Amino acid sequence: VIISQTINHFYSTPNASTSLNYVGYLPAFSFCFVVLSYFIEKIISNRSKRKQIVREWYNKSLLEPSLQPINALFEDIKYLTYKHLEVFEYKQTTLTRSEFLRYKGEINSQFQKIKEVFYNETLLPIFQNYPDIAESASGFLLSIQDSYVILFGGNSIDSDLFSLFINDLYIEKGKVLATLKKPLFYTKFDFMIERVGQWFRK
Amino acid sequence: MQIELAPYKNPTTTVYTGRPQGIEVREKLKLEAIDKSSDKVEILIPEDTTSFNPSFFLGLLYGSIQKLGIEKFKEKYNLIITTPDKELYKVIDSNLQDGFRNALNSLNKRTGLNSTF
Repeated sequence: VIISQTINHFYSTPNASTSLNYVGYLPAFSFCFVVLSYFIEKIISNRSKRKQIVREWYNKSLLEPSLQPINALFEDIKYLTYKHLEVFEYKQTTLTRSEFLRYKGEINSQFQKIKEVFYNETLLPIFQNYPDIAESASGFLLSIQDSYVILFGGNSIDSDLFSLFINDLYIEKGKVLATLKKPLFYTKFDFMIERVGQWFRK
Repeated sequence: MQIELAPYKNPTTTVYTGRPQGIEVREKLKLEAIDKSSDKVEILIPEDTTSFNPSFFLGLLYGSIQKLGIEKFKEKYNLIITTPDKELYKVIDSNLQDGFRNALNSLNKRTGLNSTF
């Protein structure tokens, strides 16, 4: 109705195309603004709902199931470290050079196996959906592996290095958890869109 | 062409670790220039090595893998584990596989489902 009235007004006004009197178009502008606001609000609202669904899905399908394996991984690494720590220097003095090298290889291999199970069962599913997140988490695992291998890399265990390793272990665990939590955060862009949506709803 | 990695290992340890260390060795060996040549390269991992961590592998070779692609890289570079000990060989080989897997995942990460965040 508003549009047809505006069109009628336009054609009934002499020299309408050159008229500078825009007041007659105000109802049409208002109408367009209302329609535009409605669609913008709808788009923003749908986007927020979709984001919320994805967040919930990530939380239930990927994050929650990974918490227990993360705890288990770090406990296993700690156990493995203490186990080898107890016998390392004894082995160094009793085994031949080649036997000792093989033993050090075994220490490395045991860590590698624990890491691989975690990588395949926990990180790979995340990799398929959030490659950047999984790659960061994987980077922290490489860092722990480095600390572990360095600890057993020489002929004896440096007690300072051991304290540093245990310290690093828990710091890296915190980093892995913090990284996996990232997709749950709202980005600055999300907040901005939310505020725009709220403004339109008003 | 053969590259000996033995001089690039701390003599008091039996391990290769760390991405920055790998990058440093890459620069010393001028692998960027070698990548451009048509020469085939054999990289010798010393026999007293008990760990060749993926972090070091990535630092040393990821640039080449990225540039050449995995197939051409494998044609050009041959990583040779020199230890005569079968058990130790398996361990180092598994380290290398892990390094390749990490490199592949980094290369392919953009082809996974896109993150919506």
